[in-house]
Amino acid sequence: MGFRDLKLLEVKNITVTFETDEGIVKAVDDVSFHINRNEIVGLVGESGCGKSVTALSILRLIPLPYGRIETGEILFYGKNLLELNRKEMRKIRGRAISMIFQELGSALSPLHTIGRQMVETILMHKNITRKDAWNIAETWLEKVQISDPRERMFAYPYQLSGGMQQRVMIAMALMLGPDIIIADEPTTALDVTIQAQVFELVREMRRSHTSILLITHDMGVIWEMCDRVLVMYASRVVEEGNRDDIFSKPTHPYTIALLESIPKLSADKGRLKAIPGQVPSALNYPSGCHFFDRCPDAFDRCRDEKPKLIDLGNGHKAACFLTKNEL
Amino acid sequence: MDTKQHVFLRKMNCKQPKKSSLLEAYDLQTWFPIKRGILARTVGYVRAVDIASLYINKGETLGLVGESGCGKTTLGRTLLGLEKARRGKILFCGKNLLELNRSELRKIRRRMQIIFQDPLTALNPRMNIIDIITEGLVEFRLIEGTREDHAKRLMNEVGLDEEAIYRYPHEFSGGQRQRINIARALSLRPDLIICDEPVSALDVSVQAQVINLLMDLRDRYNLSYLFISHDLSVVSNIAHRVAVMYLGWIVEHGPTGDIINNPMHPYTKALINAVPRPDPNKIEHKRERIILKGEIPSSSDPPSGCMFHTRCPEVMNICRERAPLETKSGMHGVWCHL
Repeated sequence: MGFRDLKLLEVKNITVTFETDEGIVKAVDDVSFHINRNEIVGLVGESGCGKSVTALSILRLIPLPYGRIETGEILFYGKNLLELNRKEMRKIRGRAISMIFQELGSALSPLHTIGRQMVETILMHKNITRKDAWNIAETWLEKVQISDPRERMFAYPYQLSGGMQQRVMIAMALMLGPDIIIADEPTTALDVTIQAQVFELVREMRRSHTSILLITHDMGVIWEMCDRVLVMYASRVVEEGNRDDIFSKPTHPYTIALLESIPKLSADKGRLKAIPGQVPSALNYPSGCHFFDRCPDAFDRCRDEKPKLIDLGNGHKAACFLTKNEL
Repeated sequence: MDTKQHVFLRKMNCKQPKKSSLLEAYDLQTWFPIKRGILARTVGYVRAVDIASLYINKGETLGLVGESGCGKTTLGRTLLGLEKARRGKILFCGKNLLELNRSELRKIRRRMQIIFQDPLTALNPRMNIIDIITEGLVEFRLIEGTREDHAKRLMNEVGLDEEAIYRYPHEFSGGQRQRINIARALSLRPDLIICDEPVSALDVSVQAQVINLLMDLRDRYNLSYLFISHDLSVVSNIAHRVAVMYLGWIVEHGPTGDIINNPMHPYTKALINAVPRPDPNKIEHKRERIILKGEIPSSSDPPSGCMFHTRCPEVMNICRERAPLETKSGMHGVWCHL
């Protein structure tokens, strides 16, 4: 196994449930995946499919007491994160695994200056003087191309635009040199030209051997950024593989339909291939395959039996009874 | 910009009105005052729409794209008369909307409808579906037969179960709610529907359903759309022509194919380039990335000369001083010194 093949993080069969007024909801159902060193893994799916919950559970940020990680292991450098106590977990968060959130407004404190928030984070993890921490923070603001970093350190989040806030978040996520960054829809709230700037930054990040778990609903973003892709639908991973495999030979009917339903940037106007119906409610998923009632190729077996991920070679896996190796 | 230049620009911008034009707008300008202090004195203006001219033919879809804050929503609302234009002309079937009195305007409003971005907040949560979609019909006394019949017909039209007419908006999913909004917009048999980001709040798989529905309805009723969106891929699928907006200006407009394949304005080029898109056949493998520097300037203090000069990769001296004029070739127009 080479340097790049090292499994940095391995998520094994995690199931996350939430207690709601209407009953217990399984938000993540038996999800497994791994992230190698220096790799960008994309997690794609529609809203409510459990992609954000998967990300939050890695850092054990599932809101208590309603949410619970029922089963599974999350191995980071071979250590199970689910067995750590609060203090040990705090050392991991921000330092070894950091997160970039989607909602910029609520991820930064509106009451404190950018500089103070950054310095506080550094001092939590590093035993250095406040002045050194301040300098580190300032250098990082410069690295993410914020103009006048010296003055911006004294700015409050509301004084910055969306793109700048996102850069501050990225700087905060990067400054402690984490092994993994989990980015939950980092550009969804941004305009495309600003998004292009942020992606350029993310590509640079990668040069510092950081692995990234990129969560998005946009297949275009996945194509531009990722090495490997996980497709999630209604709480389960339905397909996994290298980017090129997923885009050139998608196997699961959901992945195929998802790729076909994206409007293409072209002048020819034809009807889009829409997926009929809608994502089922988490309270009553079909008992077999979750895609059963929207699938064009569904047959009897799909109704009652849950399909397993079948290996198609080269790390490409799909959870469908119609894959070649299964029939 | 001084007044003289403005008058000149206005003359230049006037296109020859086409016979089939349903809606034409010339040099619309909508500014919002910024008020400060206890006397609420106006200290400046947010120039949401600065100069915008467009036309929409019968049965045609004009896509309006731009980034957030560029004034595309305000332009849509101005066309409907929901915001008051400072100057300019809006001709709807030959009548200038800005000069009509209230009762005349009311008659015309029936023929123009709008679909909003957020399907839930656009529906009154305390009204059931039948009330929502027949409210306009009752208002304009257009009910023949029973309201149920009308509501059921409209529900079928947009692909919803007609038994659901007594339900309330919260009982529907996002895609279904947007269908209800479409049914309401259709109820008065309008000529023009302004669709303000109608699919951006929806999931990808549902997005395609709603776009298909809008296209079917357009063909069935010969509707015209002004389709406002930040997403060029969506617009390129549905629109016949596209207008690109930046900081209150329409910087380029033309047939969709021309805009996508042969963009002229540096901003349009960057915008098209920035759209992430899957490309498994690697046709565009060597696509050069254009990364624009900086951010959109504030529209309360826009740059002099060409609005785009602060971010333009091909900026020249003249761009900083003078606003560019329209250069036209066929139906493709662009405002750039190049």
